[in-house]
Amino acid sequence: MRSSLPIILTLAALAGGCAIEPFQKDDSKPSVSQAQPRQSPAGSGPVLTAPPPQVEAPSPDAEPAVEVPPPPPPPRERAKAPAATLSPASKALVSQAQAQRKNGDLPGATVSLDRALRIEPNNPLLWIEMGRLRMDQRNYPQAENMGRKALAMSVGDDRTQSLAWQLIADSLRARGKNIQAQEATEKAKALSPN
Amino acid sequence: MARSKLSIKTRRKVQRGFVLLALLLLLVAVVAVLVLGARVTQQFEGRRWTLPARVYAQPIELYVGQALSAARFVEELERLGYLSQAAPERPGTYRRRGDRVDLYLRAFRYSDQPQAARMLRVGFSGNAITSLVDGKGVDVPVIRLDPLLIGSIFPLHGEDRIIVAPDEVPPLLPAALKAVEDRKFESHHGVNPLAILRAMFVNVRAGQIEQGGSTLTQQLVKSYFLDSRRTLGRKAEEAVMAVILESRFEKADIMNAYINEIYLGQDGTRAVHGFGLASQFYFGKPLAELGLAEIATMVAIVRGPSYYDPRRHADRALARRNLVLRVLAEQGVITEKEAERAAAKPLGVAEAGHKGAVFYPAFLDLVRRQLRADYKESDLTEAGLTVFSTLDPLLQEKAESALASELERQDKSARKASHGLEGVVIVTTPQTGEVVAIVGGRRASFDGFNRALDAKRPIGSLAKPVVYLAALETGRYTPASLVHDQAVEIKLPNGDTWKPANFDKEIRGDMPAVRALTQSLNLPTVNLGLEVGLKRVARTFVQLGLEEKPAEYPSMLLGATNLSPFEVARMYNTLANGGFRSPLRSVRAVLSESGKQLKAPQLEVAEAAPAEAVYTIDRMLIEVMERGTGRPARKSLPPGLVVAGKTGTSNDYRDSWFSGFSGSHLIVVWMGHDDNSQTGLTGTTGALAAWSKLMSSIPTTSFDPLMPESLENRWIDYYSGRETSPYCNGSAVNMPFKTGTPLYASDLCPPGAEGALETDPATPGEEAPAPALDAPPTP
Repeated sequence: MRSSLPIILTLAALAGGCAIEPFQKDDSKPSVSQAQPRQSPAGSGPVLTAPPPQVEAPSPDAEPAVEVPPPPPPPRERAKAPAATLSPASKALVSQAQAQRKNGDLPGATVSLDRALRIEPNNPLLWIEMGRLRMDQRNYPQAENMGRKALAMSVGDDRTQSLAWQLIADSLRARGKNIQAQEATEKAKALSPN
Repeated sequence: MARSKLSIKTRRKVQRGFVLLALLLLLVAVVAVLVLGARVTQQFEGRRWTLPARVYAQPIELYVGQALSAARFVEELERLGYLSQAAPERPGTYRRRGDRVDLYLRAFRYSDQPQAARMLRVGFSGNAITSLVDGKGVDVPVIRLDPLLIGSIFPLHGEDRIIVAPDEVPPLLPAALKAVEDRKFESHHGVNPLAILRAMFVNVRAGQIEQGGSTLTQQLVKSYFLDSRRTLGRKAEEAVMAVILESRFEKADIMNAYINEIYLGQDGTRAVHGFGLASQFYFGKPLAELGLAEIATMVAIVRGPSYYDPRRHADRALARRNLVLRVLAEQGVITEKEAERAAAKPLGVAEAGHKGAVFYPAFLDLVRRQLRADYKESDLTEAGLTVFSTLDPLLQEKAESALASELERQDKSARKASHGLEGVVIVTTPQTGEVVAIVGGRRASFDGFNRALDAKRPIGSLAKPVVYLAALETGRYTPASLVHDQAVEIKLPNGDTWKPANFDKEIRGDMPAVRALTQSLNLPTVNLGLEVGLKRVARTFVQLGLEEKPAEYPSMLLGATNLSPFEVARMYNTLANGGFRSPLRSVRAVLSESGKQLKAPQLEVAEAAPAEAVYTIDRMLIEVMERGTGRPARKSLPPGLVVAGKTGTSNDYRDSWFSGFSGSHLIVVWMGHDDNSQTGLTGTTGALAAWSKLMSSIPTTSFDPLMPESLENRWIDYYSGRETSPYCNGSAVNMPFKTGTPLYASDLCPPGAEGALETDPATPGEEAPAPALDAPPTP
């Protein structure tokens, strides 16, 4: 763990560098050269020319106004996502939900997690908690779906992805899908920082 | 019965007959008393079982970091009927000192656990809560503000009430009722013959409050059997029942029943019964928190809820309230001083539109329909359920005013003969699939037809993202794939020819998919949809959340399918939620009258479409807002707020749609006429204006989903689809592609070009058309 820190830092720095100048990275790639002009299909409109016209006729829903494209937004490359954490409010609600689950109060736990999700709908850890609750409720397909939602929300966050895969593995195993469960467990292990 | 002189001989016979008759009458009387007794007892004991379900809005969560300013927090407290006081010392009061608000939180029974009343100190800084501690200074991580009661599910033209327990009734209320309505309540046996006599003969002396002949018990009985016949027989029946009630039940129980039973006002088709609901209805707060002046007003209303309606006849109500106060002082219930002070106060009745039990008809209708899946209608109208809904009162209010002001603006525009333009707004939180606001039309009133759920209209260009998503799902298309803006004719099975055209009848040739969708062009969409196949497009509609597969006609590609705003919300919610489909919920939890948590719809998600395809469509829908048909919204949206969306206009401008989302809200707006006549509005000129007004007035976040790992961002030319540099004439657009997708490079401004590249528009370089759609060149 301690020895991997410099590697993580280097990776993060690299990723950060990519985030700043994405098109330079593209530069190094062999760009596709000019292709043969394609026959324009009969009856089609005028052949594209460059630079294209800046003024467009209004489209079905457009205001009859000149279309002025805005300057390009900054590149959307991302550095490696930081590990997800719970806000203090969510943390309190999650511990409350865990206590309620322990007492068999599943409807109560549902309310607590619903509240937390309203506060942090994009926190994958909360979706994993909701999936754990669905396991208790024996709603295994939904447990898996919660895990998949958590995966989509934790791209680049290995620790959270590992937890999500573990949830998915448990849900598959509970339904007797042992081979897929094993695969999911492998993924969880591979991503686990420990 | 006529009486004749009787001979001595026959007297005995008659006497015997008379005794028999008397016995018979007695028997009839006994039977009648038994029957009446059984009826009234059943009413009295069974009454608590006919309670409409009470529906609450979402509670506001208080926690450090919550985006809430002190001013808005106070607004919410006022909405909930919290009283501003120098020192909050009882539940339902608060004090604001600049950036600090101290409040005495009310107790509330939530579905998971009860919350006791307690002191809270909330610190604010700008638009956020920065500290939250209890009365002893201990940190509170998160706590709910008691939720707003938004209505009840009661039978049509039915009674509505909020039952209050004796300990929720301020002691002054029964004392005042007795003093004004029934001074001998504690001692009589159901009827007060003296009072009846007085009512009959001694009429009102000037200045003295007239005492009705009926005891509280008789009024209660009368209310049980709502029957306005004022016959003598009826009166006798009531009197008998009152005596029976008194013989069987305690005075305290009868008083409590009276307080919960009596009719106190009318709210549309809803009859307001009991002081619990009336307190919410007139003053927007719980009965326990009413002050002397307010209690006196309610006691004044008892005598004639329509005649003394404090909203419509404030002067009458005020005069009678002050009369009540004087009687209370005379009777020694309160002091003269208290009466004077209370009489100096205004009525203080909450605005009709701002009362505690605001009636949100379109939303409540959805709640009712969704609960009908698990509950019988009679459970909802009688079983005393407590329903915790997803409505966000602030968003609802903003949605109502955004729609109203836009409809008004359209009314005023001279452009068209606008007659009764109508509109619908639906707001959801995409991740959790919760419906947080529904506006069903320009009027809050509602007569069974819920436009948001029932008005099925052609969705126009709202269908286009579905066509492009279906194409992306095949894996053969990218945002740079060329689509063909060229004429198309389709022979229909009935022999007709379908000849769609672009809005402006222009034809532009080939263009990248991102541009065709951004500018909502018809012909490229039709050509693409035909390439992909109608079957596949129809399937994608279903994947996104349509319950019924749309008819597979080519016109489906341009949105000929009729959908309700709610169905549109369900589909677009899936796009806003990264391809995860969630049933849209209006209910979070249901509690039985005895406090048991019952069945309620649960949060569910399902992967509806590949994350990569949905992510790509969402990025294209961001372009719609940046440079396409959604661009006018930028004028009102906060700079930097990233949103995605799509306009929709049906044939001949009958329907104007906009459906779009930020990171935390999906908003669907429809405008049109109920008779389906033309509006002259496009999606941009009509619905988008209301959409952007609403989106810019609510606290929301940028739409910024995580890019799936298998994708990478590339710059392409908006007009040719070729890979380019971000510095090219403003025509570069950043789009996601599967990593390593081969793309043609732009000649004029190839990827890697730095700085603004000067091109001479007079001598455009000859750029070769890009490759065919699904046959990318191999490097």
